[in-house]
Amino acid sequence: MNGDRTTGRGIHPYSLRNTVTNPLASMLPLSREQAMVYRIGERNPPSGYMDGHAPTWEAISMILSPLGTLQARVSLQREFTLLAMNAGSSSVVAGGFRAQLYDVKRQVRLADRGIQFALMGGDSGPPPPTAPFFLREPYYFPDPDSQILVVVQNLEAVQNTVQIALYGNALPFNVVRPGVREFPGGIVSSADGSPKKKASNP
Amino acid sequence: MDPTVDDQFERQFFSYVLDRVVPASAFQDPNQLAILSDADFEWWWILASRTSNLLKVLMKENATSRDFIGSTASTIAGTAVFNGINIDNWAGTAQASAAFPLAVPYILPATRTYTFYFTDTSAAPNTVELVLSGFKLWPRPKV
Repeated sequence: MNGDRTTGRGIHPYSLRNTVTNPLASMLPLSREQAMVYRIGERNPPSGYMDGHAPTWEAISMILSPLGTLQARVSLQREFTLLAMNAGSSSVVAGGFRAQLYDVKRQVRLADRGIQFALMGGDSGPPPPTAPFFLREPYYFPDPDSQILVVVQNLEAVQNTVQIALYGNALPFNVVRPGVREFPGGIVSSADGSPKKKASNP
Repeated sequence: MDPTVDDQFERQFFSYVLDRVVPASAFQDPNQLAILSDADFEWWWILASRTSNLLKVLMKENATSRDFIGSTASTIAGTAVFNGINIDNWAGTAQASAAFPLAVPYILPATRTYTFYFTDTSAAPNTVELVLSGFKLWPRPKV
């Protein structure tokens, strides 16, 4: 593959997909690097429609009691790749809320400790302009039946309605992935279909 | 021509627009958006303006029943019914420099229809304009 799309033979300047450079790189302001899109041509995030993957938003809504804490366990769709986070809080007098995300399958926490929602991701609505937090490197959940545990602590002395939205790319449950063998009786999320595994479990 | 770097499509910038005055306190108010039959649409950005941010959105692809916005969270305290994502967590305005970019574009096939369900909690009519922005994909004629 030619690394220079401006001189490569047969490369059309208007063709955006399957090119080796980020098609939006020159269209985004430098001041918002966190919102830039990802490198193309890598395995993750998957290339969307062509792979059967679709954009997915996991929205976690909570009504927190004053200074209260709640947990939510999110069962992710297959091959979920976390790309960005948004968050909103109805009260922000004392910072809104803190949240910690935990990858249950891999037993990995995504932050040293719970971080304030304003540092985790803003909303997109005016005013004032804030922005979603895009992970510069997508976080991939490769394991079947992956889950995210979300622990949310209210920092407000009043009841607080909050929402964390996890934007990612996933293979929906009702889509059969080409080449992947599914178990009889329907699609299951643990179907892996790898030839090596089948050979070892005749 | 190297097929690994050229997908044989010309891209024309295009936006699909959905305007709706969501009735006060509406519960999952359905609104259809149809992709034109002339070309597939490569979806890159989401933009939205609204009267009140007390508005939630769900999006469903009718042909596949695919839900783009969901929740499988096991503890949703105080919210018995999942009505979607807060509109400000999903999209913003270009002026506020917060149009949401889909990091990985998604193709909305020609003629396919999508339903957007709005749930209002502002108790007043909510004027919404939703814009899906991206590119029409025109197959390039063989030379």
